[in-house]
Amino acid sequence: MPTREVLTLQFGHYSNFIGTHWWNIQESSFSYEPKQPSEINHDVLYREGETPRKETTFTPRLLLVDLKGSVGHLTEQGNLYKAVEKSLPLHSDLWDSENIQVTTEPVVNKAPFIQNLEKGPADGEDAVVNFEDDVTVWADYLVPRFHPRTVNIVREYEHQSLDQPFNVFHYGHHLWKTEQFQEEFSNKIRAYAEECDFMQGFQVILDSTNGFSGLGSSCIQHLQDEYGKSILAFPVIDGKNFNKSLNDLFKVLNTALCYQSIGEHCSLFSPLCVGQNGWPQAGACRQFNHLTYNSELDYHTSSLLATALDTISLRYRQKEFSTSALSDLCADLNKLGRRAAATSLSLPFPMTAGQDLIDVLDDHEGPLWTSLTPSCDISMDKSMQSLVLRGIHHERLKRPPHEAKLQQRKAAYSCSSVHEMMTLYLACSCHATATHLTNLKAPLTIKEPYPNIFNNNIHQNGDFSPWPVGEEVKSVPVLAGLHSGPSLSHMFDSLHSQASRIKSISKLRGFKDSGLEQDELIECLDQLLTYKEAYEDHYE
Amino acid sequence: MAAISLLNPKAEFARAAQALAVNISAAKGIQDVMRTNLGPKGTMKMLVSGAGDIKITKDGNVLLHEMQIQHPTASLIARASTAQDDMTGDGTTSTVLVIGELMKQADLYISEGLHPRMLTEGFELARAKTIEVLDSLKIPIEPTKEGLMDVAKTSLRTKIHPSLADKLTEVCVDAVLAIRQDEQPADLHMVEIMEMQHRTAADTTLVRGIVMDHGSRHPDMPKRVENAYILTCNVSLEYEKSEVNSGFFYKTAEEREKLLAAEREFIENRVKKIIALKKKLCDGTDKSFVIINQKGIDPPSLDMLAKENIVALRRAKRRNMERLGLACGGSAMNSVDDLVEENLGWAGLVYEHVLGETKYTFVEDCKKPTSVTILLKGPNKYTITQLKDAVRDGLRAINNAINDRAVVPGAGAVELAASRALHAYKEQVKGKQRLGVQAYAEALLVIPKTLAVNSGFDSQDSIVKLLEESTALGEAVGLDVTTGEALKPADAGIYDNYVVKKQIINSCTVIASNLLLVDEIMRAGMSSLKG
Repeated sequence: MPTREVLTLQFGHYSNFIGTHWWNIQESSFSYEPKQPSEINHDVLYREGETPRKETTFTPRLLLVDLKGSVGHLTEQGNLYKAVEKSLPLHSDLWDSENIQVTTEPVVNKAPFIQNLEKGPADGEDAVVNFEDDVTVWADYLVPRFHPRTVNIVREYEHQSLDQPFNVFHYGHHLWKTEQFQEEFSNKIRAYAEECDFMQGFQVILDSTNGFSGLGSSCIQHLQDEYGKSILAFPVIDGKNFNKSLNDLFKVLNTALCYQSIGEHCSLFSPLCVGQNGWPQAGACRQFNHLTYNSELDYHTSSLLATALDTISLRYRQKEFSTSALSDLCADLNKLGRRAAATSLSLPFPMTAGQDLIDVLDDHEGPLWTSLTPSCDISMDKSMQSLVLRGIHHERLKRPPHEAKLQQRKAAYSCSSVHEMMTLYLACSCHATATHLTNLKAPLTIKEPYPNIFNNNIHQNGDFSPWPVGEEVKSVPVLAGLHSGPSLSHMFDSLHSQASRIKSISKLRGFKDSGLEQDELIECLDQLLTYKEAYEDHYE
Repeated sequence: MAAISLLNPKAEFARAAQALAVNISAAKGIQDVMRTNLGPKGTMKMLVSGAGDIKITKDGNVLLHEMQIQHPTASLIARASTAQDDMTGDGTTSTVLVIGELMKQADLYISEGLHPRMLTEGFELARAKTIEVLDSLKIPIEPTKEGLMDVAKTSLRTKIHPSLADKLTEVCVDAVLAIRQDEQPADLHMVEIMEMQHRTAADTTLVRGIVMDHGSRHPDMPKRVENAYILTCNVSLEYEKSEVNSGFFYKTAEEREKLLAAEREFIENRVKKIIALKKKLCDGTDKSFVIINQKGIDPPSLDMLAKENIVALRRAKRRNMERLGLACGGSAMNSVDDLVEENLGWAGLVYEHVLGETKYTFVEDCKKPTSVTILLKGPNKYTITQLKDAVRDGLRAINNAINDRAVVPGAGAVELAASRALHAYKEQVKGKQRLGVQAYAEALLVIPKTLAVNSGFDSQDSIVKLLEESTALGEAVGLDVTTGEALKPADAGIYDNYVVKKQIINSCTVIASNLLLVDEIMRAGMSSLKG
């Protein structure tokens, strides 16, 4: 079976933060040694191309959208296919040289990391990099270079503008109807689709609290109408907490409208946020046993979400079982009107140094994963789930018989592969749950600019010790999954009750002006309840 | 103390004279930014972003979209002006200038104590009179190439360099005439605008057929065919797995593969039907067969088609389905059952052109193409963007002229004539409204004045000359931007669209009146949004 391509779309600043980490992670997993080919089929998400100078390129099959002033040093066209002109063009048949007025915005300084990246290892000292302080926009830690098609900048709204903020669902919806999106952007989607031989579908990451929710939802509707392929969507909320303000209601309403729309048009969606509540405030951040991160830094929080996405998506981009497609993943989880799923992450997968998987699983207490979906705690029971485990090597499975000792008493000792043992474990510990498990040998490679968020008791291979070891983490095993189960009903319930606090939309000016009717708000609230009911079972 | 401050002590507000001053200064400000762009001698503006992206333009509409306007009044004017462009494709800069000038003139009278209501009533009278003048200046034209060249040239010269404008004029006029069917209004979407990033802007051409930015995806398909039947269809020729069956139902991978093969056969049958038609029509003749599909075509299907020497293109633009029908004949098919020859289009030549990683497919030599392509060329993105904006406006100008069946003299002639007529008319107006008419008459002169300044002449000098000449000749005269003297627009071939002028007059009057009548500006509740 040949490659089955997926097109990725990113709408919004936080989505691009996540996307940037994701593409960086993927780039770090490229294998350049022919003897050890990667287990991942990178052609699924990347495309091969050729520049006008006949150089081969390998760029993400990606379209991203962000506002004016949010992309730092990046130019819309990128510098891969055509070098950016250093000086302004002086002569042209387009204008008389005496009759031109040049307006130049201040030059954007490149972040130290980007400067180091561009100059190569040979020439001189590297600048000192401190990501936590340097990173203001996602382009500041972006490793891959993009195809000229990839970057799309919205000219109508400015990044972080206070006067005309892009903070209303309908603004995005109207933006989709402008020529930039109707013609240019949808033509770019078409151009990518035209290149694909066996396209399996689309993955969309979109900010759900601002105008991008409307833009992304409109685009998802377009994709469904035009291509009829599987669409996996991730509406995201950043983890920052602000003071209570009217803005919270804007965010809640945008999110509610977003879920209503994409619930109708995509195959499966999974809301993501590192905060426990998501709305009206992100809330306290999710705790991971061996990580310390700053929930106010997009650079930190987005890396966790990117790790989850990279791991979950391995199911449809591994080389082995190439028929396993996005449509299967969606079909497994979206039955009975359950279009939403929760995302879980276990980073690092808790392997104790010197122990085997069989013992680790046996000794493990509590849930195996942490939920990354707001207002939703994932239970082990009564759900459909698709899990991906990476980085547990066969040698770590169990001891050979002559060293096994106590291990031999355990039922799991008869399992001869990681896949088999994990399946057995899940079958025993999850009640009434169907699990699809994908496992890969290669761990997640940790490489700059991935943030250093691991506690000091983590070994360089990701194992943990009870005491500090002070090693630099190079790779970690990861478990991540998508879960469709009753806990999602709580998410919809909580969003519904927050959105119900909006009694009248006339208080939220932007919405009324841009065409939201009171009836539509009521309809949206009802729809959230309908989604919620799909997750309730009454068998007891 | 404004009433609002009782309700909301945090509200910011400006009253009466202060409110008016805010509006007037905003209108002047935006006028100052745009004034240098007006006319063929106006300056180009080059905008360079912090990262180095370049944008070059002279078009008021593009500029207003590029600028981040913070001031609420200015942004209201900007929005009204860009709405003007959406309707008629031209006149953005003029709208901004006239609104600004009306406000300025009004300011003089209001500061002397005149109530704004009197002024706006005068404006309304003046507007009606101006429309009368405009109607009397109409020059009827026939929708022929000669008749349209001048109005297209006038519009294009205000957007791009004159040498290029002349080149594009012919391209645009030919394009509109080609797609025009009998007496029906032309649908400008039927002119495809395709970009190719190479060579220079002067290589822009009109292709009497369709150019698509994709090609066949099989190495064995012919790169060039003649006498081709064209099948345009919207039929999926790729195997798509539905989401109906969950993966949990399959026991083994083999079981799945089997099911896939069975479903694949369904697609194969569709391809076979197309091949059967091709065999019937083309085998034994010198004709060939081309499929242009809106949906996908997968490699096994491409293989089958390539073996029959059929050229197949997948994922065509939705709009190209309609365009191809108009260019080649035939109709877009939604099913491949019962295909007959009448469903197919015909083209004399279909060939592929490769540029970097993009393939272009040209469908040419059509019998009577009523859909054509303008192929824009330029060495870089910003050149092409500028050309594209200009071509769009050029097409609109031609289409407006055809729809109006008339043009009006350009080079400021309309404004000058209207101003003279208003000065005469003002004598008949009783009461203070007369001052409004007078202000309006003065304000209209901003167009010829700005034209003169942008061409390097003294505005007072030129206006006096023009008024004298106009009185002497008793007809409308405009400004010659090369000499600063008066000229007859008809002699120089400078024409504007009737509908554009009418629109400018109407919308400027309404907006300026509304702004003048504002007596309180408040800003409340915004502070709670910050955070």
